[in-house]
This record gives sequence, structure tokens and C-alpha cells, in this order.
Amino acid sequence: MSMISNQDRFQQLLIRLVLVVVPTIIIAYITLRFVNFSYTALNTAVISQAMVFALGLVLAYSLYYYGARLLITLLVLMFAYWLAERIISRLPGEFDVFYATARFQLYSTLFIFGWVFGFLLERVRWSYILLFSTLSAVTLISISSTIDISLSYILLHLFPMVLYGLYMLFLSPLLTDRIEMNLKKSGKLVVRFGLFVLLILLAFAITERLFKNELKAVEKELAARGTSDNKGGSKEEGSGYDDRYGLMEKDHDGYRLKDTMKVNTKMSQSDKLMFCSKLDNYFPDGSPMPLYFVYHYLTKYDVARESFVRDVNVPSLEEFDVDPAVLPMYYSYTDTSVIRKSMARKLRKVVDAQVYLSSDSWKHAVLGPASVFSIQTIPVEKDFQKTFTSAYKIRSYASELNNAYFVYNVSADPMLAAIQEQRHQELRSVNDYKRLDSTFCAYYTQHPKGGIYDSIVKLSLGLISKDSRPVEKVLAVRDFFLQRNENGKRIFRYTLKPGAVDDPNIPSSKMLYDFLFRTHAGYCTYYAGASLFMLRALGIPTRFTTGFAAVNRSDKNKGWYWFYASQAHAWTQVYFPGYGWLDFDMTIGNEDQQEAPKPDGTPPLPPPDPWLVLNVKSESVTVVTKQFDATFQQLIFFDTPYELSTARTKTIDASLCRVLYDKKDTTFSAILPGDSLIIVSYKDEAKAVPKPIKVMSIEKLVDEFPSPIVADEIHIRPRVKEEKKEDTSRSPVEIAEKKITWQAITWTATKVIAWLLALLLMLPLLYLVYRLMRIALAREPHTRADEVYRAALYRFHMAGIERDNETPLDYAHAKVDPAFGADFEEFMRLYLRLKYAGGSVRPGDTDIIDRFAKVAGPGIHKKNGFVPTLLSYFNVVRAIRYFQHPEKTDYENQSI
Amino acid sequence: MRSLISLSSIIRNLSYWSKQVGVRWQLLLSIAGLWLVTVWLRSEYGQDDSNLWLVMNQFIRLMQWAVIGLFILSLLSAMGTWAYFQYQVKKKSVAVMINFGDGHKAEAGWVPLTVTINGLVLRPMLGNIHARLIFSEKRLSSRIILDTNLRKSRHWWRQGIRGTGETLLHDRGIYDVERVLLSFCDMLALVSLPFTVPVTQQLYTLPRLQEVPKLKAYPNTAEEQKHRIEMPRRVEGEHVNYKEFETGDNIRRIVWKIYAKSGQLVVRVPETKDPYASHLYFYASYFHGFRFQGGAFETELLNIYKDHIRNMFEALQRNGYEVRLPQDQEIPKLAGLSEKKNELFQITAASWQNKTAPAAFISSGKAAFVCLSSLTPAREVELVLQHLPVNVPLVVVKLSDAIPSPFRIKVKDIFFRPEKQPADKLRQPWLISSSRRALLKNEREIAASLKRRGNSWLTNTIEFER
Repeated sequence: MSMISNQDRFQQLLIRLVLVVVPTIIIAYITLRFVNFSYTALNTAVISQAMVFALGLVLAYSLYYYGARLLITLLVLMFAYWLAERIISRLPGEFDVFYATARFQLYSTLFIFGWVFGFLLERVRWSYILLFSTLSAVTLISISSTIDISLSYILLHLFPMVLYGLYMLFLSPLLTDRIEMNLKKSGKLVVRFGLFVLLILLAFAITERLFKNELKAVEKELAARGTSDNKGGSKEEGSGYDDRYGLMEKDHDGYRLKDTMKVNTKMSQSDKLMFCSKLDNYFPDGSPMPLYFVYHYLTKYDVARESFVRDVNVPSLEEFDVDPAVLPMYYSYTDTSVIRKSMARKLRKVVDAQVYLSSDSWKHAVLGPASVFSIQTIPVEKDFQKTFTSAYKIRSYASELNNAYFVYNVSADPMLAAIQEQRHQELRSVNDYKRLDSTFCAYYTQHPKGGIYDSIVKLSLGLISKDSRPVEKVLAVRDFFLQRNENGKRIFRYTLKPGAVDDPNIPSSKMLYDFLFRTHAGYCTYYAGASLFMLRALGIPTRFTTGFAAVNRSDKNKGWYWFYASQAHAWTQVYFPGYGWLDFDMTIGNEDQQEAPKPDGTPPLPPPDPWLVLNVKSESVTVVTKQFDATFQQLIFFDTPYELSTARTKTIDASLCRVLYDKKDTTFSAILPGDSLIIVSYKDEAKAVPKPIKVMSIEKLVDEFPSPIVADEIHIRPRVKEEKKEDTSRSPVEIAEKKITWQAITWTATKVIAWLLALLLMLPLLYLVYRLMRIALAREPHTRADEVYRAALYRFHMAGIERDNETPLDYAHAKVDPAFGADFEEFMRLYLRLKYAGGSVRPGDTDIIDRFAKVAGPGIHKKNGFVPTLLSYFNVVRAIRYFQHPEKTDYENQSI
Repeated sequence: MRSLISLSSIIRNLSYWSKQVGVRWQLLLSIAGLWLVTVWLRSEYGQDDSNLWLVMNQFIRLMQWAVIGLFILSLLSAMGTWAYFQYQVKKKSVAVMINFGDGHKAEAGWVPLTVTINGLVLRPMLGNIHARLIFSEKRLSSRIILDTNLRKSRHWWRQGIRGTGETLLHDRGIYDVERVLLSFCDMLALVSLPFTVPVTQQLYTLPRLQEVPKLKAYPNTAEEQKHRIEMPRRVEGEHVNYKEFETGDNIRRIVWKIYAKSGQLVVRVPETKDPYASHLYFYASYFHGFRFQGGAFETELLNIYKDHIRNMFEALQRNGYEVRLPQDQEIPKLAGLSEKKNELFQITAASWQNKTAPAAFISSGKAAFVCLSSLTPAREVELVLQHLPVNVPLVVVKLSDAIPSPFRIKVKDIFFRPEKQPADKLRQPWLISSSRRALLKNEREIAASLKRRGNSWLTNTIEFER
């Protein structure tokens, strides 16, 4: 447009920067944030990345807006790039160069992206479609690299993109013209855009309603697959699987494990490290013997939900019910009843293990080999804290007959085959379950009747007679899955995609039926579920176990096992009287699981061995000497916990010590008097460490402890929890505040709207009151006349006598006086004289004013009645008409 | 040259008919784009039984239906308002008005344009109504968005809508508006339902004005002139320009103010006569002595020539004399134009002619200033020179470089694209055209003959005196 001036052009540029460039920057920032989040390798300051991008975008947009030539600018850009690269490569210091180059590459890429976007937005009219698709594709790819996908998660990240696309679609027709930016027009634009967004949201809401059932099915499916939808929040918190909310809801009959397993296909391909463990379990020849790591036992089959669930009313379950997260550092917890509940005497041993959990690991239950009975939390070495967030030592009452080599590779290794055979031989000594407690037996062999279940029973009874030995029955079931067809090919195979799209994690009865009789393809839960029904049908106590398959991949670090998300597993455990629960994994070997997605890492260094762990309350803290007095009653002395009869106080020297608050490093100054601390002192050559003497009582030993006790680690226990306990009166309110329901929001919104409506209705009346007040306050005749005039005009208008284009005098003469007879005309003459003729107040004028002021209102009441007059003041539309000044409709129609 | 013109007319027709179709190509593009994306996603992820695809599938479906719903809604609203408008037109309760520049005229180039529809018009929900003027030969103006409501006083409902915008009218001349094309666009601007309303209106553009210095010229004739008196003056008790009321005087001319003060009945004398007023006769010839083709070149040369004439005209007016502009062709007068504006209209409405040769047209006795174009053959210029007194300045406007060569670029143009001018597409063809060569030859001959006479210039600028 040649006619527009430079200033106008600049203004147009600014408007476009606001309307087009700023939203693009925002959307790019959101994408960048998300990409940074998904690819932690990139993780540098997102803000500065976005700024660089924005710089490129704004520069390019402005330049091309003023018509810069593409080729020339590209040449200049390339030269600048080349120059910058040369300068950076000349920087002193090899590391600096590397660092700077990496930074430069990232930033220059972003800058160029911004530049290209700016160019496209300015020059190509429909380019935002391209931008929109690029950004969406980036987001999609980033989403696909994360595991926890839910609809709300995708919506959360794609919705801004969609909004941006629609916004630009909405905006682009306007961009071709000169955009006028006066207040009225921009207001209109904002209103229009607001309505547009509202409409979009409405469209989405309606569609969502229409597709509600399908969406629910998907959500259910996702939940069943194990990716819970934690309202998109779990991702932000950076925590991994967290089953505190929703997943482990306490149900009417115990625990409902809606979706414990997370053995979904995505998870199976995931290379996320869940935990690693040092397991002190070896074959007689010294080679490591891996064990399955148990997470939960699912003992009951819920027919209604067609799923295996945890049950609280289970007879004799040796589950070690403790959450390692709540144990203080170095604290140990032992539950020997687990040993009793395991109902095993023969061929049992105690196996020690250390487990290091990553942040993604499953929480709130102990992960360990079967029948864990003792746990002690241990710190993670500083260098490994990035990988592992917590660690514990456990002791298990493990069966010698258990190991992780059952079906996998069994034929490949003669030694393993021999061990298997030996195990079966041993178990052949069990003839039946007659001597077993009948409730226990009945509980673990219960299975639903009818339909599909009956055909499973029929199938299993066809495999072997009901009188056979238990181990033979188990082997028969195993052989059923291992059978081959006439071509020598296995009939059952392992697949992560068993066919059904709406494939929940734990297969439904229909899927099990399909698996057993039709497709013969499934993954671990299919095998475990099917074999459980078959074994229970044969009268063998069986339970469904979830956890991890241990794979010994390398001998580099003997006894160390690395557990990735792909190793999540389900299998069956069978009870043999005397021997206890033994793992029988019927799953056909999945070669994929033998290969780790990543090479095993370096095992974390074992923590130094403490000679003393004290659970103390700090008394007086001296910051200068870094010493404080501590009172304690509980202590662990050479791995043995004691509780003193009376509390003791000792001086603690913390000058060389590491202080941690809630597992994070802090300084000595964080220790406050009255804090609850765990004090750890390592065995150290340099320290005078008292020797444990068995004959001496612990009290005496404590008295002989050196003073001060040199601490190596001090763990401050989080104070918030204690505060919460103390301050119980406040917490319910807080909880109530947090739980805002939709009903409450709707109710509040309704109330607000109602109030606003009421206020709106009251406004005309309030205005009348205001006008009357002005009359009352006016003293001087001129102003008084003016106020009376205004009030009268308003009252007559509201009484239904509206003034059109006539003069006030005409109005008074032709309309008001015939209707109300309020002598308005007489007043008007006086008023006009006072106002326009610069007239002085004549005697009698005030009387006329006062009389009119008194008559005007009652005149209306008399004519219309009091109630209709009052009601007329709620006619908001009429009131608005009073304030509406006629808009100029004729425009500058200049004659020529 | 023919092919270029016919090509441009084909493009013009295409653009005209595409506006009449109602479906914008954006719709087709969007549908194609969405379809491609869906196909790509299905082929990329569709086989996959991953959570991603499961969720994506739902998301895409949600999106798809939401967008389709939105689109249908917006389409329905556009169609509804469109149909309603048709009904209103049938009832003859709508009227379209066009305002152009300051009424009917503006300087050529981007000219402000206002389109008003009076009557009850519904706008599509969140959409817009666009208006385009259709000139003769199916030329379309730029789009004007009708986004301003004209409200009745103290009423909720509007009495009409109006939009202002700009359109490029490059040619100096008269534009006949034949119809107004109104398009009802939905909010996503995917369909635009057309409706044409017949309107008859003439708009005209003026040649472009530059900052011009005074051009010196002296009148060669004296004629009677009347001056209208605007302000009454009073000199020593007498009212200048007033006279006593006599019988026969129009009583409406009585100045009551004077009567009120002095009781005298006087009438205003409206104008004074100057029997020896001097006039500058500015002869500008539109004679085209070459083979007349009526093509794009000639139109552009005429544009430039008209600019020159207008600027000279205004520069001559600075001498203080009244400037008369005789025409060498019949130009219909536009009703309601004042004399001064009429002269500008005469300049803008003129066109090349090959009937009246300049020598026959220019009255050597009256002429105070003569302007010819270099399209006047050299022998015709020679003829004019023979008759014209030596003291009368003669300017021959050099038109060979009116359309600049494509190689003439500024340093700034290397870095920034110059703004596009409608005549840009002529630059290259003009450089190689035979007309230009003939014109150059003619100009050389004219230059030779002008050299023999002083007080004459062959120039392409208005500041030729230096």
C-alpha cells in the first residue's frame, strides 16, 4: 500500500507483532518447554531458548515486513553464522570450546527456526498451517517418547496447538487489510475472538459429550494398561508410578488393584530403569542365581471386574506390609511373622539383597525376592543420587527351589535343566493337599463357575487326572503351553499385541478364552491368568504374582541385577506343603526380555558401615563449633537395634559431617534445637569406636561412648509432618479448601451471576436515588434547577414518556404535561431562561422549582400507580435507552 | 502485446468468477490438508497398538468432529444470513451506497473507499460480510469488510452496516461501478457466499499531485470576470458592496442586520465585475500521432501525461491569474461540479485522440502556455512552433521513460523489495517494445526542432526551467 505513511506502517507492524508474533512465541515457548521436558539432554534454560527463538522471529518478521530480500538476508545470516562459529572455535580452552559450540549450535538452530518462522508468517499467507503442523509434530513426537500418556495429558499439550491453529485461522482473513486499532475496534476484535474461543470450547465439550462412552472406554483401557491418568499432574511432579491415589483404593472387600501391573505394551518397550539390586544368591558353583522380585500378590479373582485383586481377608499371606518411603534412614523393620505365614519349613534360606530405587520405580511396597521379612533403609552414595533416589537392604526367607530360570532358556543350559529336574523330583514327595488347612486350600483354589470358566476347567481336567501328584499337574499345565503342532512349531507364542485393541492389562475372561482356544498368543498376564485358572481347577493352591523378572545379563558385577520397565512381569506361585509358595512361570520365553535396553550401569558403592545410628532430639546447637547435645533413647549399635530404658544425652560433633534434610544435602545451620535427627557414625580407623561386648548391658556401653560422638551423617527428619500432627485442628479446613467440586464452582458462579443480575436490575433505581440526592444537596437555584431538570427527565423517561428528537420544551409541552400535568412546561421555560439566557433568579423562581420538584414524582405515581411506577424502574432496557445518545449516522458526505 | 492483455483479462475473469463460486480455495486446501494428516497418522501409527495411538486416535476423532461441527455451524449461519439478505433485496428494503475518497473522487493510487448497506442486514455468526465493487470489464476492487454498525438512535438494532477500506485504482480516469459483490463469509473464512447488488455510480480518480514550484507565464488575453463577495466591508460610514433596496431587488437579499441597527434597507451586491481581467490559456494536447493501439502502454503513458498536465495546471495557477484549460476533445460534464473542480475532471477524463492536431487546436493568439506529449509526431510539433509566438513557453512531455526501465534500481532496492506498482509488469515489455523505439526516434527529432526555438523544453520533469 503505497499511500500509507512510515509511521502508519510502523504502527501496523506493531499491531501484527502483537497479534501474530507474540502468540507464535508463546506457542513456541510451550513446545520448547515440553521438548525440553521430554528430552532432558536438552535441558538448559527454556526461557533463554525461547528468547533466542523470539529474537529470530521478531527480527525476521520486522525485516520482511519492510520488504527485505530473502536472498540477501540469507547471505548476511550465513556470514554472521560463519563468523560466530569462527570466533567460538578460537576460544581458549578445549572444554570451553566444546561447551560453547554445543550452546551455539542449539541457540543458532533456534534462532534460524525463529527466522524461518518469521519469514513464513510474513510472506506466506497460509504459512501458519505449516507452523502449526511442525509444532504439533514436534509435540507428538515428544509425547510418543514419554510413557505416561493419557487423554488429558495429550489434551494438555496439544490443545494449545489446536487453539493456536484456530486462532490463526480466525485471524488470517483480517491480516490482509490494514488493521485499525482504535479502542472500539480492538474491543470488538477481542470480543469476537473471545466468542470464537468459547464456541470452540463448546464444540469440544459437545463432542466430548457425544463421544463420552468411547472416551471412557479409552480411559478405562489406559487405566487397565497401567497408565493412570493422574490428571496430568504426575508428570509435572516428576514422580514415577504412584499408586497412592486411586489405584489402590480401599474397596469394600479390601484392596482393589485396579491397574497395578503396568505391564503394558508401551512399558514393555520402555527402557526406563526402575531399580537395581545386589542379590546375594548364588548357585553352588558360585554363579549368580537370579530370583523374581515380587511387588504384590493378587490372591483373589473378582468375577465382577474380571480381574485379579489383592484381598485383605486372605488366610496366611506372607506379604511384608511396609512402605520403605516412610522408614527413617538406617531404620530397620523386621516382621518375623512373615516367616510363619510363609508356611514353609523345607529348603529355605535367608537371602540378603540391596535395592536401589530410581525415581520411576513402583512405590509404596517393598520390591524384593519372595518373603521379605526385614528391611533397613540405607543412604545412596552422593555420586549415584541422580540415578537412585532411595535404597534399602532386605532379608528374604527364600526357597532354595526358586530361581528365575524356569521356562526361559531351560533347554539351552544342561545345568539349569538338571536343577529344574532336581526341583521337580523334590516336589514329587508332595502327594496331595489333604493335610492342609481346608480354608486355606479352599481360598486358593476358588475359581468362578459357568461359561468360559467351565471350558477352562474342562480343558485342564483333560490334561491330567485329578488324582495325580501336584507337581505333575503343574508340569502338565506347563507342557500344555509348551506343546508343539505337527510341524514342530510352538502353538503358544509370546506377543505384546495379543490382538484385541481394547486389551486391558489383566485379560478378561473372554480374552483368556480367546488366548487358550483361539489365538494362542499373549503376554505374561495371559499366561499367568490362564495357568492360575487351570491349576486351581486341578485343585492346586495358586496365586497371581506381580513383580519383575530378573535377568542375569553379564558377569561383570556378580550378583547385580538391573531392572528396567520392560522387565515388569506376572507369573503364578504354587503352594507345596512344607516347601511353601514356589514360582512357576508358565510364560513362553520372550527373547526380547533377555536383552536389556541399555547396558547395565555401574553398581552404586555400598554405603559405609556404621557402628552407631542414633535417633535423637537435638538440644542446644552451637553453630561455631558445630556441636550440639542430643537426647536419644533408640539406637542401632553394630547393626543391632536397642531401646534404652532411660533417655541419654551426648554431645555430637558435626564438624566433618554431611547434613541431609529430606534426602537432600544441606548445611549444619539447618539443624534447629528440638529437631528430630538420625545420627550416623561410620566405622573408621581414625575414630575411637567402642567394641561391642556381649556381656555388657547396652546402657553401660552407651555410657562408655566417646564424647563427643563424631557424626558422619545427620539426617534431619522433615518437620512438616510433625507440624501437621500437632496442628490437626487446621488441617481439615485445608483439606476442605482443596476439595473444590464442580457443584461448588457452579453454585458459586450461579450466586455471583445472580448478584450481578440483581445489581443490574437495581441500577436504574439506584440512579434515581442518586439524582434525588443531588437535588437534596443542591442549594443554589441554578444548580438546583439543573438537578431537578435532570431528575425529572429521567423520571418521565422511566415512566414511559420517552423523548425523541424534539426540543425539551416541545417534549414538555406535547408529551409530559398532557400525560402527567406536572407543569413541566412552566418549569422548562424557567430552566431554559436560567441556563441559556444568562438570566438572574427572579422572585418566585425558587417556588416554581420547588413546586415542580415536589409535583413531578407524585404526578407520575398518581397517573400510573405507585407499584407500576416502582416496577418501571426495573426496566433496565428502558434505562439504557435513556443513557444511549443517538449515534451520528450520517457520515461525511461532502458535496463536490 | 495482445497476448499479454488477453492473458491479463483471462486472469481477471478467473478471479471474478472464483469470487462468484462461493467456495474459497482455503476450504479445499484445509480439507486436503486434514485428509493428508489423517492418512499419514494412520499409516504411521495406525498399525501400532500403543497407548499413544489409542489416545491420539480418540483425540483426532474428537478434533475432527469438533471441527466439522464448528464448520457446519459457521456454514449454516453464513447461508442463513445470505438467504435473509436475498429476501431483503427482493423486498427492496436494502440499499447499497458507495463513498469514494471525499465523495466521488480521490487521487489515483490507493484510495479510501466506504461501502454502506442501509437496511436490516444480518451478519454471519462471527463471520463477516465483504464487499467488492465491480467496475466495468469485470474489474474488482479490493475487499472491504463491513464491520461497523450504524445504529438507530436509542435503539438496539442497527439500521445498516458500513465498512471502510482502500482499493488500488491506478488509472486516472472515470470508473463506472456496475455492481457491488457482497460475500457472506463464515468465521473460518472457508466459504464466501456471493450476492451481487446492482449499483450505478461513477467514481473518478485525479492525476497525482506533486509539490510543484511556480511556473512563470503571462496572460495573452483579457476577459470579463466576476468576483463573488464573501465578506461585507465598511468604509467611512458607507457600506461597501451594499446598495439601497430598489423595487425589483430580491427581498431575500435584504440585510436585516443593518436594518436592525440603522433602519436602512440595503441589499448585498453579490459580485463585482472586472472587465479587464487577465486569463492564462493553458493548451494541453492529447494528440497521439502514432499507430493507436489502446493497450496497456498507452494507458500508463496517459496516466503519466495527465499527472504532468495537472501539476503544470496547478503550478500555473500560482501566477495569480485564472487559468483556462481548453480541451481538444469532447468531454461530458459531470453534474454538480464547480468550475475549478470541473477543470480537474476534464484533465482526468481526457484520453488520447488522433483527430484534432495540436496546430489546429492551439489558438496562437490566446495561448499563454502550451503542453504537448512526445507522442505528437515531430512534424506536428514543427507546425505548432511555426504558429506559436516565441514568448509562449512550450513543453513537450517526454514519455519514453515514463515507464522506467527494469534495470533502474536504487541501492535500497538491493536489500529491500520496492513496493509493487501496477505498472511494474509493463517495465520489461516497454523496454523491448517497438513503440518505445519509435517514440525515442520521435523525441530525438522533436528535440532537434525545439533547439532552434528558445523557451521550449522536452522534459520528463515539472522543474524543467532549471
